[in-house]
Amino acid sequence: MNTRRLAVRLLRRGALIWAALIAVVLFAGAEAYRAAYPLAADRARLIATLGSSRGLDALYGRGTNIGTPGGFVAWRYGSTVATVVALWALLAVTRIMRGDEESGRNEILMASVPGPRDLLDRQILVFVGAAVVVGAGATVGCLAGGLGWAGALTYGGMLAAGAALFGALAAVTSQLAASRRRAASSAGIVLGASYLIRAIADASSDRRWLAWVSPLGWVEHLDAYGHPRTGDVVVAALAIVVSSVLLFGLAGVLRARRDAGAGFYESAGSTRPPRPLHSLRGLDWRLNAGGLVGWTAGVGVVGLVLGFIAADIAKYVADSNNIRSTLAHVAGTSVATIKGFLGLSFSVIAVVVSVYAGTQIIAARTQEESGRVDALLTSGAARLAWLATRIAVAIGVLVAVTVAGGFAAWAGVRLSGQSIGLVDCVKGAVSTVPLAVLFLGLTTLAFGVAPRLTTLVAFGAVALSYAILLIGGLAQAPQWVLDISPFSHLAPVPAVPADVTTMAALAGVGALGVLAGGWVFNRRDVAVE
Amino acid sequence: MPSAPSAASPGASGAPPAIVTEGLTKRFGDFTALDDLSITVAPGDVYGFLGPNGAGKTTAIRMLLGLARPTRGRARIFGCDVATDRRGALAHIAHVPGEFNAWPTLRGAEMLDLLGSLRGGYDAKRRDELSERFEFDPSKRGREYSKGNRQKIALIAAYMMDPDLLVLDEPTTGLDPLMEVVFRDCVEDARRRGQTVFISSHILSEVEALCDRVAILRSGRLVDVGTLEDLRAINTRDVHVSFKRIPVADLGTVPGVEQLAVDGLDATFRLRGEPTPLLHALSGESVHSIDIREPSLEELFLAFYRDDAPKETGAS
Repeated sequence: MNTRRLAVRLLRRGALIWAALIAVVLFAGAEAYRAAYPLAADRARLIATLGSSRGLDALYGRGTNIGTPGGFVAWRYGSTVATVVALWALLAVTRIMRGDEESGRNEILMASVPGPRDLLDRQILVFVGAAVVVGAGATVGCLAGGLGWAGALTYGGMLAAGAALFGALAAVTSQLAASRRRAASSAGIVLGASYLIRAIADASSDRRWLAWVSPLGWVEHLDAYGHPRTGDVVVAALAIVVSSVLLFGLAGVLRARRDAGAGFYESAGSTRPPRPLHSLRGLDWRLNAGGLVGWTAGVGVVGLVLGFIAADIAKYVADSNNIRSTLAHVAGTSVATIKGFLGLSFSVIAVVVSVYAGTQIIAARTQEESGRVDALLTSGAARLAWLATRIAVAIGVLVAVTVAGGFAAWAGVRLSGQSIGLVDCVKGAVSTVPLAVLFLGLTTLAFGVAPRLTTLVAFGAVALSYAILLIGGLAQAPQWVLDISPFSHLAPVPAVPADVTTMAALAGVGALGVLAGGWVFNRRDVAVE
Repeated sequence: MPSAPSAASPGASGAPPAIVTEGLTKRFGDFTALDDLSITVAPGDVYGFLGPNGAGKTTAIRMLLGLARPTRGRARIFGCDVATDRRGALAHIAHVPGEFNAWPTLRGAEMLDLLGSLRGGYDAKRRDELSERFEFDPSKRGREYSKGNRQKIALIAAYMMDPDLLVLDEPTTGLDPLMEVVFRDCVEDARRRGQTVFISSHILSEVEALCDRVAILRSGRLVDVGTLEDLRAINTRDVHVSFKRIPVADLGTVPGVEQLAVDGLDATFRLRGEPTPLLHALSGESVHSIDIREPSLEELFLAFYRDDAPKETGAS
C-alpha cells in the first residue's frame, strides 16, 4: 500500500460519514422550514422575531436572508456545521500527521518515501480531497432540499474552505507539538477563539469588524443563500485561500527542520525540574490536568453562550406556537422562560460530561493496551485501587466542570442584561453529574467485560441515548421508547426542582456498573496489544 | 504440615522456593500459549528462561506476575499463591518488561519516584548510584527517551527496590553493548546479595554468561531444564583432528561420532556422549593436533529445536 492510499483509507470513513450527515441535516432543515413557515406571512413574522435577536446572532451568525428556505438553512446550520467540520478537520489532520508519528506507526512510511516533506505533501493533498468530499455533502443536501445551484455550490465550497483552513492550521501545530493531543488542543484553542470572536462580532452592532479577525468570520462572509456583498466575498475567499496555502507551506518548512518524532514546543520547556510524584492519585491528576483545563473551558463556553441567548430564545419561543409544541413533546417543560430554556439546554452539558466520563475509562484502556499499567500493577498498586483512583478523579472533575458550566451560564444571563439565581444555575448544571456517572459505569463495565469495546461503548452509548431522545421526540414515539434513553430521565433543573430519587437511581446504576466492571477487571487478564 | 498456611512444596531447608509453577497452562481460544509448565527456582539462583520468540516466555511471566490468569495450574512466589495472594507474591518481585512503555509526559525522575513510592518507598542514594552506573539522564520526558533509555528506567526501578526476586523479560532489548556489560554487573551484584534472578531471553550468550540453571521452552512446552553443565553434557561437541599420517582406524565406526568429514589428514566430526571410545580409537594414531570445542549455547539451542522430540539424555 502506498502512502497516499494509506492516508485515503484513514480519512475516507470520517469524511463520508460527515458528508452524509451534513447532507441529511440540510435536506431535513429545508423541508422542516417549508413545513413550519409555508406562507409569506409566516416568514415575515419569523424575520420580525429572529431578525432582532442578538443571542441568536451570536449562536448562529447573522442571517441576511432568513425569509427564504436557503437563507434560513444556511443561517441556522451554517455556523454550527462550519465549526463541527473545522473540528473534524483538525482532529483528522493531527491524527494522520502527528498521531501516527507519535505511536511510531508511520516510521516505516517515512523511510519508504523520498522524504518526510514528500509524505506531508501527499497527506495534505489527500486531506484537501477529503475536505472537498465533506463540502460536496453539503452541496448534495442543499440540492436535494431544492435550494438552488449557486447557493449549494457556495455553501459546499464554504465548508470545504473552512475545513482546509483549520486543517492547514492543524498541520502546523502537528509540527510544533510532539504529541497529537497537544497538536489538536493548540489548534482547538484557535478554533474556540475564532468561534467566540465571531459570536461577539455578530452579537454586537458596533463591533462587526471583529468578524474579520476570525477565520470562522471569513467563512461566514461567503454568505451562501444570503445577500452577499461582492467585495466581502472576494476578500474573505482570498483570506481563506491565502492563509491555507501559507499555513500548509509553513508546515512543510517546519517539517523539514525537525527530526521524526520531535516537536518545537518541547525543547523549550524541558529544563523545568521534576516534581515529586508519589501516588496513583498524583499520577492521575498529572495526566488529567491538561484535560481538566480544556473540558472546563469547553463547558464554560457552552454555558456562557447558553446563558447569553437564554432570554432571546425564551422570547422567540413565546412568540412561536409552532416551535413551542414541538419542544413540549421533547421534554414537557415550557421553554418560554430563561429557567426553562436553561433547564432543557443543560442536556448539552450532560452530553459533554457524559462523553468526558467515557474518555476517562478509554484512557484507562489505553494505559492497559500500551502496557503502562503493568509497571504500576507489578510495583504493588492493586488493580482496584488503580481503577478506583481514576474513577474518583473523573467524578471530581465532573463536578468541577459542571460547577464551572453553571457559573458560566449565570454569567451569560447577566451579560445579556437579564437575571437568574446563581445557585439555580449551578444546581441545574451539576444535576447532570449522575447521568455522566451512569455512562461512566456503563463504560467501566465494558472495560471489565469486553475491553476491546471500551471506546465503542463510551461514545456509542451516549450517541445512541441522545439520538433516541431527539429522534423519538420528533417522531412522537411512545413514552416507553423515550424512557430507554437515560437522557429522558434528566429533569430540566432549574425549571423544576431537582429529582433526587431519579438522580440517585441514575448514579446507582452507574455505581453498579463500576462495581461489576471493576470486579471483572480484577479477575481478567491484563492485556497488552 | 497442618500449621503451614501456604502449601508451598517444602524444600530441603524448609524455605519455600523463589518460584514454583505446577502445570501452568494458558490457552487463548484454541491456541495454547503455554502448556503444562512445571519448574522450580531455588532462592539465590540466577535462572535462565530460554526460547525463541513466541515460545510462551512472556505469557509465563505474566502469569507469575498475576497479570494473566492461568487456564490451568498455579504459580507460587516464595510460597505465596499468585492466584489467591497476588499482592503478597508481588511484594517479593521487581519486574523489567521486554519493552518499557514510558509515560510520554512524565520525566524519568518522576517515573522512578512513582514506581518506588508505590512499593512503599525507596533508597534515593541507590537510585542515583544506579542512574550514574547506567549513564541515565532522569530529567527528560518519557517521549524524549530512546528505546534503550526507556529500558533503563525499568531496570533502575527494579534494582533500586532491592527485591527478593528480579523477573527480567528480555531485559537488554535496546541496550547498547556497554550498557549490557553494566546490566551483567548488576545481575552479578544481585547474585552476591542473594537475590533470585529470573531472566527470559532468546539471546544465548546472555544466559550463558549469567545463569546457573536454564529452562528451555519451545512452542509453549518445556523442552528441558538443568544446569548449563547438564545441558552441555547431554549434547554434542565439535571435534577437529589433524593427523600426521593417514589414520588406520575408521573413525566412522567409533560410537558417538557423527557427520564425519575427512579431508586428507584432517577429520572433522561431531561427538555425542562421552569421549572415551574416541580416545581409545585415537590412541594408536599419530595425531598432530586435536581441537574439541564445547558447543556454544547458540548451537545447543539449534540442536534442541531442529528435532521435534525432546532430547534423550545421557549416553545412548
